Amino acid sequence: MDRLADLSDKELIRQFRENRKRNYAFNLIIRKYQERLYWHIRKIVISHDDTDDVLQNTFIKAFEALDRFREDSSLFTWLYRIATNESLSFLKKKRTRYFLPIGENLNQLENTLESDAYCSGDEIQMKLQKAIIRLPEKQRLVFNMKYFDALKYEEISEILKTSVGALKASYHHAMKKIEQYLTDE
Amino acid sequence: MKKLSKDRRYIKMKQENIPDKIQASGKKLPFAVPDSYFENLPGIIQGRLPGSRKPFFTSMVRAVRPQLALAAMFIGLIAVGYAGFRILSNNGNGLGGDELVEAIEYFGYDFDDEMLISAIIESDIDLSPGPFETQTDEIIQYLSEDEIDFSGLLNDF
Repeated sequence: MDRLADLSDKELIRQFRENRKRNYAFNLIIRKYQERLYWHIRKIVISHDDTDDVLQNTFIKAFEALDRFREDSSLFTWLYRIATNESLSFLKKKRTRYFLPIGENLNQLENTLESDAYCSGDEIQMKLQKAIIRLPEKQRLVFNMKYFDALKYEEISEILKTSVGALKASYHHAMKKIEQYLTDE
Repeated sequence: MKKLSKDRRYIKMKQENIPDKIQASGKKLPFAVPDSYFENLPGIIQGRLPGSRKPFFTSMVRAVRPQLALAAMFIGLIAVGYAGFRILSNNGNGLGGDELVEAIEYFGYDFDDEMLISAIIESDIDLSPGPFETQTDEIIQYLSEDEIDFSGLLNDF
């Protein structure tokens, strides 16, 4: 773990680009970011098994594309963006596979929340998750990143390629809808 | 990340205009992960990375797969050709293996007396009593006569 703290993202990328240390450096990148990415994906796809699939695919995509990464943004933001895209396309594929209309993803996610072996929490935590699942996709992403991951609007803006103003509005709407749901329930 | 105390977290949430209902839910997620998941994950991903070393046997099979397919196709063609040749060569030259087995089973187990009688009736075999029957009567009559001298026979032995 100390080795991870010592090495900056810049250094990890430099080592990755040296052919000899490629796999070693990438292993360090996985160890450094796996937990944060896992929880980000988990909040989107809910099931542990699905999260595991999406997270593995995220890292494989990152491995294939890291040589082309221009370092305009931070490595973390870049990985977060890949994870978000992978999660959303995973949900889309799942919906297509079961011929579900757009809104039906909600029922599926809610069922997973109630039945997944690795989903357990007190009533109030489950209620909050149910409220978040009901949000439109974009608002859900913004709320999760801001409320749980404590990312700055500027970082979310880089990840979702959306203006800070629009993100603030999304977060505000999300908050109101969740509050409403929690009051009604 | 530095952890905030409960009071400071509450103040922060208030500053961020987070409604009380949501604040009460806290920021804890109702999710868990299997034991040692994060310890094992880097190894699993490394194994899936493009260009990572595969087990020898798997990579060998993958490498020779086209050749194996070609060989299987070749063997299949030879088998079909040979079977065709056998069928043609058996045509008019008696029974093939399967036909022979079928015939043996038929005659061995399914051929009863009625079928035998009807087969004989349909055939041209002459069933009228022949000269043997007359001869048999004569022999019986001869043997039953009292004048037979068995001593000569016994002496011969």
